[in-house]
Amino acid sequence: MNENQKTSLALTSLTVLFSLAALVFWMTPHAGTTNKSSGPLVGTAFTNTATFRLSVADLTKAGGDVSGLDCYACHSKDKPVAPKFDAAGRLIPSVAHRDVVFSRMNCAGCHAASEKVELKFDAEGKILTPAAHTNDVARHGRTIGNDHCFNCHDATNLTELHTPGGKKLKLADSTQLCGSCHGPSYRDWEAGLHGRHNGFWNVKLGPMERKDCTSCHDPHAPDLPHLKPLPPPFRTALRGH
Amino acid sequence: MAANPNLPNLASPPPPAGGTSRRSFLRTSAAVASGLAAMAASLAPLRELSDFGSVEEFLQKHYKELTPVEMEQALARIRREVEKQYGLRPHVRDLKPMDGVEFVYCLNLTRCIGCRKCVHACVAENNQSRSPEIQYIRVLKMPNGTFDMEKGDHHYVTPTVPEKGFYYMPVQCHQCKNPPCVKVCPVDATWQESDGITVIDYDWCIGCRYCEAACPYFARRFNFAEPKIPKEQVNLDMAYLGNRPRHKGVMEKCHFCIQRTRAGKYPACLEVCPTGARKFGNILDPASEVSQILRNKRVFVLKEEVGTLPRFFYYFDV
Repeated sequence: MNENQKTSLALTSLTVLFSLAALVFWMTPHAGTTNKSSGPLVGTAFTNTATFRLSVADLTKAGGDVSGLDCYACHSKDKPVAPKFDAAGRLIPSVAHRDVVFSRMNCAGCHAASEKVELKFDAEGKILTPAAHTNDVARHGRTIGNDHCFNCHDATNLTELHTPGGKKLKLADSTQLCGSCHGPSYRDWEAGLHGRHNGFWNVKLGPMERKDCTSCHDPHAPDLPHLKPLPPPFRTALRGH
Repeated sequence: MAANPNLPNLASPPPPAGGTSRRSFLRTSAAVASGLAAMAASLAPLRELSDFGSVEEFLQKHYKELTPVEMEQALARIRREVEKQYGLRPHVRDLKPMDGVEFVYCLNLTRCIGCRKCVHACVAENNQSRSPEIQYIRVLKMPNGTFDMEKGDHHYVTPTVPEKGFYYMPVQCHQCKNPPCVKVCPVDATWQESDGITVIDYDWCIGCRYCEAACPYFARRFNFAEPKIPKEQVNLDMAYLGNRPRHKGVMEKCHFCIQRTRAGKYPACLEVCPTGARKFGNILDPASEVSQILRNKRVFVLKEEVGTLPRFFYYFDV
């Protein structure tokens, strides 16, 4: 057996070995990608939030539970709806409204389920907001569909709050509620970096007043409003600056 | 006397024989009267030097050489002057730096919206002249994506701020650890205190404006005219090195609201900021806001290359 034969033998045996290994791997039922069904990767508190993710129309179509939703689940106050009318000029209720179930603290808190709400329209045919609703705003997380009352408010008692994780909070503890979603801002606020302190930097000499989230942000429309700037410095002709 | 009778000598004309003649008396009287009138006329501008300050102020020693008694006298004089000028009795103090305190200011460029509330709160707090206008803070409107100061505009007038495509960068005295303004002062009227604040003794300043030229941040302001403040807008909580009224011809600048911060309070510009972009505190305290910012945020100083080592930091969120 010369060197060439030895090499050929070694290569042949290795080839056979690897082929067998590949065959075994191929035949094994657990090889390749498998469906792991040992529970959801993301907590159900986050995935099973149908009321947050679906529109009322979708929910109604799917026959889901639409109790606990109010008008502002779909409608934003600053986006007036365009109602449709039949040939006789009567309002055609949209599909989403046909089976809306009024819950206690929603529209039915004031409007009886059987009541026919009379809508008033301006010259352009847009619905006029009644006085009772003028303070209703929902511009919190509008772009990501998070502007629904009961994401933060308790559905049966608006003066109580709850985090997305289900933790109940008093109205006075709203900072924790904000922090349950806005982590980095909450972390900075706790360290004193986000928001403002007034009074004394040296707490030995006087009180430091800490502002919380709602001192500056309207929780229903948390974007800080644009401001009119105060006047610029007088421009002297000589100095030019 | 009267060696040469040919030369006219008005003060003592040669006595003619037999005493003073009527003519020489009249001539002498006229000359003396016109001489006095001319002298009065030449001294007349002195009557308008009411803003020259009192003799007491003129004779006052340098701040660092004042004994406690002399400082009390100086404060009493300032009280009298303010009372005379505005008819109000101020609360003037000489606040000293606290031990173990070094002030640092941090400004969040992510948050500033350029509303100029800080500028006007500063003017109200620090008794700056309203006419001609003196402001310590300049808010630069800068296009996104550049730190080129030449592209900044501090005269912007827009209906609302912030505007898209711009960020806002307020600039005021950076209270440098290596202050060029202090180096160039020929009379030591400005110096750095142990808590990091560069102060000015307004009674010692000669108004040469070298410091204004030396400052790379355009932080110093000169009183070209006698400052004017409406009586009802005078802030009566005053400090000697801080917001006491200044005279024409002296420099002034941001002093981190010495009358507030050395009493433990936050500066006025911080307290009005609607976005919480301004942070102030003691850098020697590891738990203070500014210490946390310097540890955890992306911080930079303006014009680092000039080596001034500012105590004023800009930072960003995220």
